[in-house]
Amino acid sequence: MSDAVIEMKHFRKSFGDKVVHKDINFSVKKGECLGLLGGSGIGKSVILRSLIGLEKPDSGQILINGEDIAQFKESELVRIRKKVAYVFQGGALFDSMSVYQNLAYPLLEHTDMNDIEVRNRIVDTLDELHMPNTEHLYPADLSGGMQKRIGLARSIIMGPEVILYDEPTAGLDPFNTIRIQEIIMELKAKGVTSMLVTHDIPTAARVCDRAVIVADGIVQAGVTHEEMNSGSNETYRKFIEGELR
Amino acid sequence: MKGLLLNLGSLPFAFFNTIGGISRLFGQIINEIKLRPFYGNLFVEQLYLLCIRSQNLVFVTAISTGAVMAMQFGLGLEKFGGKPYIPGIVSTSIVRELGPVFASLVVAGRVGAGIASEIGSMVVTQQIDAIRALGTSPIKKIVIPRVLALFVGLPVLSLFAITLGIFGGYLIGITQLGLDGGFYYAKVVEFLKLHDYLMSIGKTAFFSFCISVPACYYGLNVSNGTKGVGIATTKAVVTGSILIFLSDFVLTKLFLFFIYKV
Repeated sequence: MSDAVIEMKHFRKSFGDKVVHKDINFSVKKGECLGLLGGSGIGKSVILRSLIGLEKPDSGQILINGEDIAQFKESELVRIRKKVAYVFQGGALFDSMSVYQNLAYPLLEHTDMNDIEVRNRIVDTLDELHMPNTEHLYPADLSGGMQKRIGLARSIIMGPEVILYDEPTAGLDPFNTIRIQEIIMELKAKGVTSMLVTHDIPTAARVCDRAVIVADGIVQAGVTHEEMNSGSNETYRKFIEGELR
Repeated sequence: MKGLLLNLGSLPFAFFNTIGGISRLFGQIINEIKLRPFYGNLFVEQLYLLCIRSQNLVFVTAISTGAVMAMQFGLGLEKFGGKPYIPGIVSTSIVRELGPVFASLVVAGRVGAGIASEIGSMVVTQQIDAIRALGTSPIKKIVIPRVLALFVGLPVLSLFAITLGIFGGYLIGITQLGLDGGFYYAKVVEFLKLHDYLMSIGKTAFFSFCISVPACYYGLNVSNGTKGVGIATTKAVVTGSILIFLSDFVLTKLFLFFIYKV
């Protein structure tokens, strides 16, 4: 049996007549962080969304801990979504709710915690992300970087086994980018398996153990952490030099 | 020219696609409404936002409709000595038709647009995806509280609208048409029967689905960003209004058949 936590086999996805992915194959081992690199509009987020059932593949398998979720119904996916967290590009915070209510949302839905336990967990999580005393604020009061970090906090508050990051550093200043990188590495150190869709090559090179480069609907190459930092992989070098789209 | 023909050709497909989508959403609502948990707090919040906040608009429409009806009938019937029939005619029209239909139409405008734009904005900002990604159902969290709130609230709003509509007619009757207040009241009571009120409540309960389900459907299916939100909002109001008029005819026919066997 494979020791992969995430596995995608012969994944094919199209929208109307446009075939976005022809045959995507990769796997992620427990505790590993895999980067998903590729040009804009090639469907990296589609791959990530498919891993928690937000998109259905045309064909192929999506295995989470060995279970094929490709044809799961919404009700069956709830079990998976408690273990696999998704960090949205813009945070996707509920704008009618305060930071506290946003963070309490998954806890109130999926645990039997009382109000004090919920409050303590929220305060601890915000402290962990260096955002104390922000509970009372609303998403509109937060900067883009803070919204991303609160979105990240909401995703990790349940202690997921897997985290899927969709462009976690896009549009952030260097300070916030480094903060997000550090959080990803702290979570990785705790044994959390993760996948990272990004155009931010320095972030990928810093936090990812491996990366796959997707183009023309297939995985063009796998790149190790060392290759990303040395630039010795030819496909990777072509990608960062803009020769591969 | 070819593009225009292609567009015309795709209209029936789009129509049946929408009907299918709305029916499927209604099916999902029926399936999920019986599943736990039930979000009572969201239901109460929507009852306030959708119904109580609509009361001023509905009440103003109702009272002015009743008053105008009484004036128009007064003008027309006076020539034939039919003024004594004004209380009965005005109140029956308001209870059976104008109260439920006008209340529903103004709510379709205010609430239908609000639901579609709110849900559409949530789609655009990935909040609906976030609800799903957090292991919860947007049908249960977003759609069902709105549909239920309108199902409960619209008939109540309509009953208030009916009362105010009759009151509007009464005011015109006694101040402009020279009718006696006691006479007006007695005629209203004499003309109106329990089944008239039941017909009214039944219609508005049905109309609530005509407003809320298409509005939720269009909101959930927004595409093309904020431009799509505007389109969804317009479609929600237009579809809701058309469904109210179409179903009013069918429901009136049904009620008359069951009550009067005609």
